[in-house]
Amino acid sequence: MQDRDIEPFYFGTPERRLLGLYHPAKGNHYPKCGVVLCYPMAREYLLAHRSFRQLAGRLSQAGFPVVRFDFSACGDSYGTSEEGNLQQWLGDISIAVAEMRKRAAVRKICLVGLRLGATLALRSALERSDIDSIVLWNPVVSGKSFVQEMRSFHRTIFKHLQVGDPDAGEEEIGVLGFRLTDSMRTDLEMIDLYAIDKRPAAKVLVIHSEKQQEGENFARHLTGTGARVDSKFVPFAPVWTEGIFRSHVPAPVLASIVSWISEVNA
Amino acid sequence: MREEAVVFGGKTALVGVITYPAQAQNYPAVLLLNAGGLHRVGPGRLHVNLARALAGLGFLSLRFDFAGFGDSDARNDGTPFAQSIVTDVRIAMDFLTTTQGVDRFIPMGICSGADASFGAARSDSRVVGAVLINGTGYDVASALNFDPRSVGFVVRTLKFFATAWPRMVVRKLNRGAWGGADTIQLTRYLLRNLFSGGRGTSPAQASTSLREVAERAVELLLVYEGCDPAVDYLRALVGDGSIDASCRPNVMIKVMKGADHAFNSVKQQELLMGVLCKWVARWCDVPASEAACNSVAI
Repeated sequence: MQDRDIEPFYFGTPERRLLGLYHPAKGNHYPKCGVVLCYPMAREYLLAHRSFRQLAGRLSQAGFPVVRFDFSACGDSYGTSEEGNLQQWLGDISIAVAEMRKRAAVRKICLVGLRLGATLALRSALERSDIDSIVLWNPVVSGKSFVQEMRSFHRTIFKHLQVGDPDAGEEEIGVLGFRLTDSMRTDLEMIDLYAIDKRPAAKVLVIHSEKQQEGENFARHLTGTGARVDSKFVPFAPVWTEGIFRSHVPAPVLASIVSWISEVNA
Repeated sequence: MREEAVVFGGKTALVGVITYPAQAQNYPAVLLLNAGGLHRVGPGRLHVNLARALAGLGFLSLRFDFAGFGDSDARNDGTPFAQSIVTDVRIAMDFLTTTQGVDRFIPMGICSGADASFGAARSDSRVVGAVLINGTGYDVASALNFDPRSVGFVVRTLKFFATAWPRMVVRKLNRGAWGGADTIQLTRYLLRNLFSGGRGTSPAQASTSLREVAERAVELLLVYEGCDPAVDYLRALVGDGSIDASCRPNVMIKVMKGADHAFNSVKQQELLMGVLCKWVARWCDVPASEAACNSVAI
């Protein structure tokens, strides 16, 4: 197991078992900073999986130990898809951070999140005081827009598939194979990252691969909290909404993230 | 129910999750195989939900990533994909035989997972049942090649042209990039098959293989959704009359209207789980009707 690039394991409490994958730091016996990756949700999680694996591999090669994990009620973690909620997922990040510290004895923690994973990483950093840096990759800034986008994407895909929408008319909305419960939708719709007025971490990277202005506006807002905020625009098709038969990996985006984390931890 | 993350396969390490039933039973183990490029959790987490429903019925299961997929290592020996995935199924069976003492298996898969399932059933006597969901032969092109002059094929081709190309043009206008390599590739296949009659896997060959597996008394469940190109594949397998499902109780064919190729709807996933749990009930002590209901309850 020690020679492997990836070590899969379950961790957490007996009631909340999470599937984690640990990527040890390559050639760095005393890493200062550990990176915890926060996946996006639902269909976006499936489409981003390959990119996250490659990002973890690149970070590991650059000398950072990495933990990526499935949130409760997502992926291989315990819980049915209806049981997930934002508060629980924030708790999952804390459990993953503790696991990282246990495995690699690092002093600093960097959270990297994509879409809703970025939103959760930001909120987790706000609730804690021990997150040194965060990378927000196309964060979900407005929950209302996010829910609308997911529904719109669902309709587009079923229109493309030409089979009608079997979930139309259901009490709880189905979004491309994932159930969106009323309570989850309510939780999501309350997300408004522009309401944040406290510094989440000392160093923040806002990276956007589409909608450049949106990223820059949000980075400007976070700068107002006193954090050092870098904003990068790296054009690439959004891998989390690509068609159902694609699995693109946005290599330039991954390279930018690794480069920034290396730079702030130099 | 308990789950364990495992790594197996030696040099080419494969990553998976074993789901254990509360009480070990002497049932065949179920192997849940990658659906196309998606990693082991399956479309809409279907494989996770299914593994847990099967554990409720007493079945041990392993969902894992083929070499080069999900979290598994890539195989760097040049083995063709179609062969590699069947090898991975065999490796998974060897692993469960060694570690869990299981010697009977039921591989289940969607799309390319169906092909791996079929390949394993053909080549390994430990396979006592196999589920092929929207199997398309060994590549998309071969599925499109079947029955190229059927009305269904022509209608689908025309629909494809009418929807895919306008989308590509809009994309070009919005983003300045075509980004439609798969659209172009599919167009090439469709045009070639529309006018030349195709070049893929021979229906006769596929049909013979299916008959051979069926004659070995392997229980087979073939699930298809009504509008998928995979239906052409099904027609190739059963259309010549060599497989008459009514005469072979070990071959069951289920067409699920309203589903899509990868079961992207919650409702269709629940229906599919009901079909699968009911079908596996032949190996366990739970009545089929009860097994189907339990699958929806999780």
